[in-house]
Amino acid sequence: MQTTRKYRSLLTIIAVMAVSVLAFSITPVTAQQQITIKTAGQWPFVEVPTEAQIESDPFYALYDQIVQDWLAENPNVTIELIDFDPWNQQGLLTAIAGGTAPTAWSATVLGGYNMQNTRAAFRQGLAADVTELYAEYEMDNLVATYIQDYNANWIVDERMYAVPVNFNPGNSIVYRRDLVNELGLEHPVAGWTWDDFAELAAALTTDERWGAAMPPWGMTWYLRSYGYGALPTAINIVPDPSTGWNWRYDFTHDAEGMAQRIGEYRAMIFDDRSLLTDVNMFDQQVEQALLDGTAAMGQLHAGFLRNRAPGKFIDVAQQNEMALEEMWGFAPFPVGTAPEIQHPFGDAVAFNPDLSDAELAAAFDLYHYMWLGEGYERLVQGIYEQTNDLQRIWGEFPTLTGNTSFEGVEGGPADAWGETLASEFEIAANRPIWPNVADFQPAEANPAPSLLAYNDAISRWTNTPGDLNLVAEIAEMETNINAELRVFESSVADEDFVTGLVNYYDVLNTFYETHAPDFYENTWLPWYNESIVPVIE
Amino acid sequence: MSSVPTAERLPTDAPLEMPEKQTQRHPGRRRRAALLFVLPAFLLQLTWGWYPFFVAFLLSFTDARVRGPISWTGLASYERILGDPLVSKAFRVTLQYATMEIILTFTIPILVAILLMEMPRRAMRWMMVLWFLPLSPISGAILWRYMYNAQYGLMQAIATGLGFPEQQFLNSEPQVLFWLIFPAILFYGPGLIYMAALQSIPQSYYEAAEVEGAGFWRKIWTISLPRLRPIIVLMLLFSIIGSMQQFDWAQLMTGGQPNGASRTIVMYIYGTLIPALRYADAVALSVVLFLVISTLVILFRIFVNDDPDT
Repeated sequence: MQTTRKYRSLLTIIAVMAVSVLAFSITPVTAQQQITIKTAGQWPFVEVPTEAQIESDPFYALYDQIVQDWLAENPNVTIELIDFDPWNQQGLLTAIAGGTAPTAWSATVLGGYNMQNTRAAFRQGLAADVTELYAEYEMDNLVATYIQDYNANWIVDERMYAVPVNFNPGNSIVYRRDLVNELGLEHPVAGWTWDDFAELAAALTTDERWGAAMPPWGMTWYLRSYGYGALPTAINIVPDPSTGWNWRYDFTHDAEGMAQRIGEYRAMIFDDRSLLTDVNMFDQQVEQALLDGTAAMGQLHAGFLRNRAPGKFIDVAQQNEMALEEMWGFAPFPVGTAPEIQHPFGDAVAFNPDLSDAELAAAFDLYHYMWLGEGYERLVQGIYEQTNDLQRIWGEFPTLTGNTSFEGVEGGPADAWGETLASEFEIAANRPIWPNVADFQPAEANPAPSLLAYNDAISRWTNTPGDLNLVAEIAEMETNINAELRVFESSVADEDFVTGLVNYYDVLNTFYETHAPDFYENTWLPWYNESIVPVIE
Repeated sequence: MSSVPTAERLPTDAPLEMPEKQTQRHPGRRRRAALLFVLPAFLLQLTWGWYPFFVAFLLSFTDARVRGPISWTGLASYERILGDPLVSKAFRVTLQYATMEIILTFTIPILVAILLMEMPRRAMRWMMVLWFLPLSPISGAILWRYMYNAQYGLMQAIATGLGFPEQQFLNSEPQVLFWLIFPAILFYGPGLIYMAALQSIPQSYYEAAEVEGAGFWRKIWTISLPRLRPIIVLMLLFSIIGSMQQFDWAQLMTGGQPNGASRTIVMYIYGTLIPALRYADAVALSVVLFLVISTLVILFRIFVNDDPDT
């Protein structure tokens, strides 16, 4: 009897659970299908202010009103806020696979903030194709030329998978202008060299302060400045269509030269003790070192410098009773013999690949409205009317559209940031963008090597004091990288590969000849003639 | 009055009779009831444990795309990862890490548990609270990262204060694994399990040993440790399995650097393969790791005896 009751209870529980699951899985069919834009509520697409924010901050009230006006013009569209972290690559990829991803997100999250991986994600169909929409909205007439130059990053096999939302002058050297003035030193200017950097760092170093702070991959920039590195722009990588991956590395042909440069960087760290670096010294740590006075200069991009939050650069300058540009300078990266290796970059919005045509069109229209259209203009004017704060207006300078003035706004970037700093932002923004070999080849469909052996070697040379046999270690690194490349197979046919190479090296040669003629003649051309030409021919 | 006769009330030559339970007349129904109650847990394990594992194993033979049609690639992923010198390096680091961690962190909790049992009860309780407090490993890792900072960390201040030269700590290739493991030496979590096992050892064993003239350490060696053997063997097995999958501390504190000296296999899977969308390679390497750990476990079970009486 007792057992029978147990059976009945268990069967009842199972039946109730089954009915519940069925009830919640049936979607009622309505007469008119609505379009729902799902957003995580964060920049860049699309913020959803809370009631508390709308009541307390006029900016959010304005933002919300602008969005509501767009919704009023698109009555079949609703915006749904979902609980989602749009900055986590794995979460995003899982959501795309499971069909629960938001409508749009920052494009580079797909590739873990790595452009090569992001393009691989585009190739795998993890973002919607927006080529037609981009043309339909005549976006090339709306965005600045420098944005168009950078758009190549979002194009794979002539299809576009993301649209730009901002433009950053790029990584530069943020430095204590007031200290340089105080010590009577020379300010860094465009074209300053790594020798100038080392000298300035040494002069700024005291017992309590390092002259400069760099992230752990700082040595890769130093080496690239002299033509060394792991990218096809370097004199260390040889196209080799006879191999599976089509490339092999050759560091040993100039191991002594490379070892010399490595030694120079190491001297700043271990001998001069003017360069602060650490396995955990990422951008946030470099920022903190500058803010708390641990270092006097460091690599950061303009977004850090223009951050208005308490305790950041603007606030620290105000605490020291200085304007931002009085305390902080924004200098281009030092150069070696090659052209400057840093260049502007931009963020973009990618759209969910599972959106229907109507959903994609609605989402794209909202993006256009908020970033380039009427919504953006109203937001700019509204912020100015509320705050008169030019730094809020010109927080993203250079702008997406190339504007240096807005209707109704009295003042431009120079009024917001100061003549000197605004000019430094412009100089940084006009740095040439290096040709990317991926733009000249069919998109790679197969898994790509990590080249981690190169990063590991850089990490060792940056963090290990004492005498190192750099030439031998360079040779060992080359062996390890080539061993890794041997197990990979490129999806690009040899014929297409070589054709793409010819076009790429044409552009790269012109780039070097234009921006670093001495490097072109004395370093690049001999390497090119010896190692590249035989392959192409 | 109990209907069940007890040993105290029965004559010694009377047969022991148990009342006939209703279910003993229906053994099949009892088995079916048991199966039905176990079924949800079984289905859960099958659905969220074994099924994903089986599908992942199959995916390791494909290109494992997130979207779009999946193609069969055979052993391509396995060839790639087994031919990758960084994978063999990561396995070396993993084995070194596991060996060091077990040697350094396994014995201390046993000793602490034995010594705590000798303390007065009040002192023992306070020590248990201090040492067995469940601290977050993630916040601990972040805190230790700052403590190890070569410029302004607390450990550097202690080292230089004691007259040692400046240390590299996490920046040092030869030392990074030790410094990653060092904080774990201070955590005595498993000691609670050893203390519970020690409390189950009859006092009469120790009394008999004292009568025989055994001192403190002899009693530990001949009584406590042998009786703890089953628990020690089990915890050692868990340690081997856990150490071979080490990820969070190294990921948070060094990211695998310097020079990959702290990059374990799981870090290579998570930090290198997955961000590059090389899911097939990631799964293949996970399968290889599973086989390595399984082999270690099997060898362990073959060669290590957990019988306390042998």
